[in-house]
Amino acid sequence: VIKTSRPDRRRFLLGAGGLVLALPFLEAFRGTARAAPTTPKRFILFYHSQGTILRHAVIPGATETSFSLGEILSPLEPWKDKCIFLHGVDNKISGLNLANGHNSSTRTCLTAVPYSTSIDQNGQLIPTEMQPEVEGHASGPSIDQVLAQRLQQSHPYRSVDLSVAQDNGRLLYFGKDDPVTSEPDPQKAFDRFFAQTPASAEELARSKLRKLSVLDAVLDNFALLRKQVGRDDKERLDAHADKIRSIEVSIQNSKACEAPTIDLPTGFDYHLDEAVSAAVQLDLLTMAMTCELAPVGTFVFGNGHDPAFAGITIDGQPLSAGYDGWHAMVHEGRNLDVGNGSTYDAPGLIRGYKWYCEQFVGLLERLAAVPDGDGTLLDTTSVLWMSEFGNGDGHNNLALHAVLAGNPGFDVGRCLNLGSGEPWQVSAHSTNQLFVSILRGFGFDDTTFGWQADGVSAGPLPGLG
Amino acid sequence: MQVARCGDVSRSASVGVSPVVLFLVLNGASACVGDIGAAGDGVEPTTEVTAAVCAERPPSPGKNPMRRLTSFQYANTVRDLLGASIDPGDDFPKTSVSQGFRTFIDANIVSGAGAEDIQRAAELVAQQATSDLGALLGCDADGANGSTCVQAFVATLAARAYRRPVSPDELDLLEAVYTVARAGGYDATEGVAMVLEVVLQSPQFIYRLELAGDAGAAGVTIPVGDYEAASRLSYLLWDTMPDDELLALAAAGALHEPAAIEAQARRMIDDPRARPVLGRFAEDWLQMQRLDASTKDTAVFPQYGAELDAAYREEVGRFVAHAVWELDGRLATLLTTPVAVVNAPLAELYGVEGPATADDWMPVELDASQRAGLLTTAGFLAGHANAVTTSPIARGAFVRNQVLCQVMFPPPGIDLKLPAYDPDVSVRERLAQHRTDPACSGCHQLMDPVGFGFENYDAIGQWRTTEGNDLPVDASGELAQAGEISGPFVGAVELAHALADSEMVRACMALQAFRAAVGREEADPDQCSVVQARDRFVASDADMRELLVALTQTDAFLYRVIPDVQEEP
Repeated sequence: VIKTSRPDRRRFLLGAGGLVLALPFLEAFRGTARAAPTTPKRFILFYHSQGTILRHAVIPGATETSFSLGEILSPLEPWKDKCIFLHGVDNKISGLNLANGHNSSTRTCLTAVPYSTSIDQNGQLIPTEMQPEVEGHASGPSIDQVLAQRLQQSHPYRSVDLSVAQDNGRLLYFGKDDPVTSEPDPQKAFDRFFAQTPASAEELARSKLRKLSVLDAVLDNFALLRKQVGRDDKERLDAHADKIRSIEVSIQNSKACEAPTIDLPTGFDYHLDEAVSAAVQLDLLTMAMTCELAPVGTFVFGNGHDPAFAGITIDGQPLSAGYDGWHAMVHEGRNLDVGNGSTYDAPGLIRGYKWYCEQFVGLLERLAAVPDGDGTLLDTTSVLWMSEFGNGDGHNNLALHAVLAGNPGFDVGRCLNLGSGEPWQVSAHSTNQLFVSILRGFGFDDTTFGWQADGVSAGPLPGLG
Repeated sequence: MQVARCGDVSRSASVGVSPVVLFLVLNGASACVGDIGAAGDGVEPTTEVTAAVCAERPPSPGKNPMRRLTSFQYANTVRDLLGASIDPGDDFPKTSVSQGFRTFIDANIVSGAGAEDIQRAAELVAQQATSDLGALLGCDADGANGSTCVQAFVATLAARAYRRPVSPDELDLLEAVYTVARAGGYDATEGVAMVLEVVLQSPQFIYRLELAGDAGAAGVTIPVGDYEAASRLSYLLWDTMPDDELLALAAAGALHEPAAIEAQARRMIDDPRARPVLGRFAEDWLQMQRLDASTKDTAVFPQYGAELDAAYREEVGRFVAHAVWELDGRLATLLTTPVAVVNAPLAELYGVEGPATADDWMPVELDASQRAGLLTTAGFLAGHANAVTTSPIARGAFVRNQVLCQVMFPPPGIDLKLPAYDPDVSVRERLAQHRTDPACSGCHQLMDPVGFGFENYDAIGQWRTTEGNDLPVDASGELAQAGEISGPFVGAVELAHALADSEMVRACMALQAFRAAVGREEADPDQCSVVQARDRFVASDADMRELLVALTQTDAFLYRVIPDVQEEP
């Protein structure tokens, strides 16, 4: 039996779990009730590494309206009507970079652009055999940051970026060569987003003014210096200055938000206690969305290679017992021979993927527990669950598996298999189109996203905008 | 099946360093033919760059993009600027090595959250520094000459923080921060704190950058300026701002000549502040950051835990400081000496008498038939291993990439599935497929047999003679296509001794140090700088201290190109 300290929906509301929500605060939200919008108000990304096992995700043979969830996705059964299960979309950009394997898969997964080192000065793709031997950075922003920049209005932050165990560091991009840092330490995340409660309005105003005048002077220094440096350095100084302007916006837009309390167990180590980390970080993320701190939230399991899965067992054994760690099991724990010609997959592997699904369900539960307008946060949030591989064992970027949930701006309760049949082979459709679809779900009229490689169709995915 | 190019001499020969670079290009189900040194289609033959060739060429310093201070450099600089008792905190964005060295631009990016972290770090430091304002200023900010007192402090602070003379505009800006603060009702302490917060967040402080100035037209190569030389020296050799002696020489205009720079380099290398810097270089070279993503199976290795993991990370720095400054400092010593610097958990792991606690460290002699320098340190071996088993692939690839400078990339887009772990089958047997399947064998034949030489060290770096269910360890290996040291060998000790004698290894070490020094990969304009560093290092019988001196005598160090400040048309 899996044990996590994730507070269930009831505890979340009553404040008996890791997060205490003051009820009057929720009343205040109820007070601002209005009709549920047809377009989502915010976007949440949920990401873990190493793909899935497709045949245990959605049972093969699925159609758009008639489909069954396999063991891995079984925790989503009660939420089926709030999801779109998406199969058979390829990341067609990863292979454009010289170095592939884990690195290129991750850095192209949500950006759909090649490394900046794979593109020449004229904006042309450099053939792989001529590319420099470096693990470059993405040459453009990831879908979450594109939305963050478009959706920020009076929010203090563009996005609230939290991770579990460690920062992936090479997944989310604000722009070219500009990875997003996401916070793996729940205490630090709490301090950053909630622990700023000045005693009085006067003090708040004074503290804002002081910070702003310091940052104004810092920006003046950027302006002085940029006149004396070369073009590349100018670009980097400008990118840094832009982030300082964002801090100014967050100071100007800061608001007193009912702070949650976090209660971390003694001896808690966020690197290792992934279950506790995930629960608390999901609480904080939900609270940040409730407070409208940002229009975008990201939640990433940062140690994709060998997560500790501390305390998560199968038959009393660690998940990867008998294997050389999680990553080795992802590769080796597939298609094991039963002896009569048929095959099975390692139970620990299925259990690990299912655990990720349970965390995703935890996110949906939390969102559904917070009233927003006539409904809940889930009704106003477009949620994307993504991983860099389809079947994890092959480590390739074909036939990815994704779930859209909540209110992605399209009819939910569907299963879309866009691959070229089973078993989930090379698809005519790309992640570029998926991201176009997500943007269109927000009412934007984009027709392309990312790098238009050969064989990458423009426009949204069929059935999604 | 498409056969891809594997050998590419142009990339390495063009910088005149290692004679070969392995270069895999695999698309889909393609193969790497492991023929190092054979140029692929379309590769232009290149002439070898020698010292003689370089003597005929004009100085070529290569690119010098601005570099953010690493987290170590930030902490050291804050303490040197404001006092040793200041706690810089841990908010400043962490330096995070993915590949290459921690000095690389890529390892020191300022993200959105990072800019906030810099702000928070500045606030904490300013608060501490102004806790005793009188002591900080050395005069009375509220006295009769209060404004003169503060002005003098701000001018001195800025020049030291920016590590060069400050322009009138820069000074006006900081003075205005104080004046406006006072006019707004803040007291002197708060006003100075705000000035400090501005300085500590400003690009002049956070970044090492060299301005266009008025020394010539854009694109022209000129000798490095005195203040630039001071910062280049101090951050290369001490990971901190220039000390008073460097700043005084710079002010006197006496620090741009090669001889003056060399004299200062020698003074600095003899100073204890140089020791941790070479240790950090060695950690990056050994790819110690791999430990961050690695976990060990504690059912198999009950002695593995946070204490041992911490010891792995600390051992390398202590060993390098010992071998370079207490022993003879030669690369060969780093690669072969049967000495380790250990605390209690490491002593247990190495099976020797050692200190009683994890906090005490001492050098110890190890069994010379089992251990030889850096490549047999427990942390390196654990970092290049899995949770239960060793990784001959990772260990072999390390020797190719890092020791021989023969670049090997992981293959893209192919199924990496290995036969499942079985305690009755040796790792060597499990990997046999790599070396027979033509899609893998070309390159794995170059890596795996090197890694097999390390089979006497388990996944936490312990010596072993059996693996799995009592299978005898076979540590015989082969180093193919590695110049004069090519051939079969048994065990990592023999391999380490062979590597220590290799010209190719010395050239590679010089190249790695050059990369760490300039904070980027080498490129064509760096050819002569790399040759200069290498030749001097080799001539010193590969003394690591001389390598540091050599780095200060390259075109890349002694010259700079005036940047083009024009806006994009």
